[in-house]
Amino acid sequence: MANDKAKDPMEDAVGTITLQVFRYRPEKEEEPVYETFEVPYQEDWMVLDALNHVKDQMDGSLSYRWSCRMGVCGSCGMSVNGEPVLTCATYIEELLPGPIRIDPLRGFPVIRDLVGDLGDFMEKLQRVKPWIIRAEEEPLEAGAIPQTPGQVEEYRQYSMCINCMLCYAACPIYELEPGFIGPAAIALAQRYNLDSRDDGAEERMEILSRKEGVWDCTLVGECSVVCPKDVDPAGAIQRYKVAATMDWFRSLLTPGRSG
Amino acid sequence: MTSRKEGVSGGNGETSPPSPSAEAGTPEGTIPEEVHAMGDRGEPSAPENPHHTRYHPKWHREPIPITWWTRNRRYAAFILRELTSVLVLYAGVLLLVHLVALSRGPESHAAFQEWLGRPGVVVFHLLVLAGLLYHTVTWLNLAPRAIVPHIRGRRIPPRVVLLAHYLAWFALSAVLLAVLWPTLRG
Repeated sequence: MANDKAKDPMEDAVGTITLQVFRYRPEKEEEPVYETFEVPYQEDWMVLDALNHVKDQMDGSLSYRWSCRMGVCGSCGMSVNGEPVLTCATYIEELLPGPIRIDPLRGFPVIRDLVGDLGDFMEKLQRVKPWIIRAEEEPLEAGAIPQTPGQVEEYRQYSMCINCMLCYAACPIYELEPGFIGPAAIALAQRYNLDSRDDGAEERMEILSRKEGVWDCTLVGECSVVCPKDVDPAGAIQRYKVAATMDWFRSLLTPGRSG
Repeated sequence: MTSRKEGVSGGNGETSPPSPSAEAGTPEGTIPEEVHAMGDRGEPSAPENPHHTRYHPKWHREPIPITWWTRNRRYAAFILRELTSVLVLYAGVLLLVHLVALSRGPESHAAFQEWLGRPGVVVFHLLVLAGLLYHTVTWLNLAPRAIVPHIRGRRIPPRVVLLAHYLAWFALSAVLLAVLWPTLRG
């Protein structure tokens, strides 16, 4: 890619696409506006490439997040024509003839242009303790804790989450009930709950079994539709609802049991 | 447009060419935009928007329209599934009314049947049936995602869970129909 920089970007362009980009410059304007850019694009360009072209060649003040360009880092999530997507994995050719409307991810307060404040998620993620909790800490010399392939398979799907926040942007509940822990955080809690090495399910239940935990979810299911890693957060939440209900019944039947 | 300084924030994009008027010191150009960027914030300046300062950042929050569920077809399908749950309640109440009519004797039951046979009621109940079928099918199809049972450590395939739900639905409906059919024929 380094060689391409010297080349005229117009050289390989197969056409121009109109971008309608959400602009919010809080020091200047009370309300956001849409700014239109006519961008020459190449055949294999993603929406992110077009944004980078705007920033490099047309308006350097455009703010947005991106890093890896290969669907791994999860930072370039935006709303493209109303659908939350990774802009590095969305072909311009599939959105022809345009125009392409680019908004920040829904559900998060906008700091500037396409940059949302994800602090709320970071705080919620910590509350579900997304790490392995052992009943008793073993010394390092005790060695690794082996797992069978079947045990890995139990949580592998949920471990694929890249925290791209597309599921939060797709979730109308998160918009309407800002207290909701949300899809990715619950899926990640399940990733550890279902790990054979973990003993922290009861600690996590503290937060997950609350209303703003799994019970705010009404199973719209859109989080799983937009997930670029097929994590199926909606499925994780429903599984947890069943588990929490079973646990509640068990605690009814065995009164001596704590919790 | 052209008076803004370059490279404010927003990831690690490559260096931008300097805009010709960035150094021009126009009234707009004197405002260091970095002040309002996400990361390191410099000394606060007098911004054009007095509501946005270094210590009082102004986030934009998009309002949620009451028509949010028209944004895409899947949201609408979800809302329809939720709304048709009212029809499930209605069907339950109808069944209770039917039982009460039965228990009150032949006259009461005959009146109930007469009501059931009215054309308007028949049309309405056909619509209710359509809603009930939509609700049931969309709901049962979600079951394998919520219920992931294990037998002797092995996960039961989602197809089996789905099939079990449909079989249970058909079996219960058949029982209900077998019990109620004689009373409906009069």
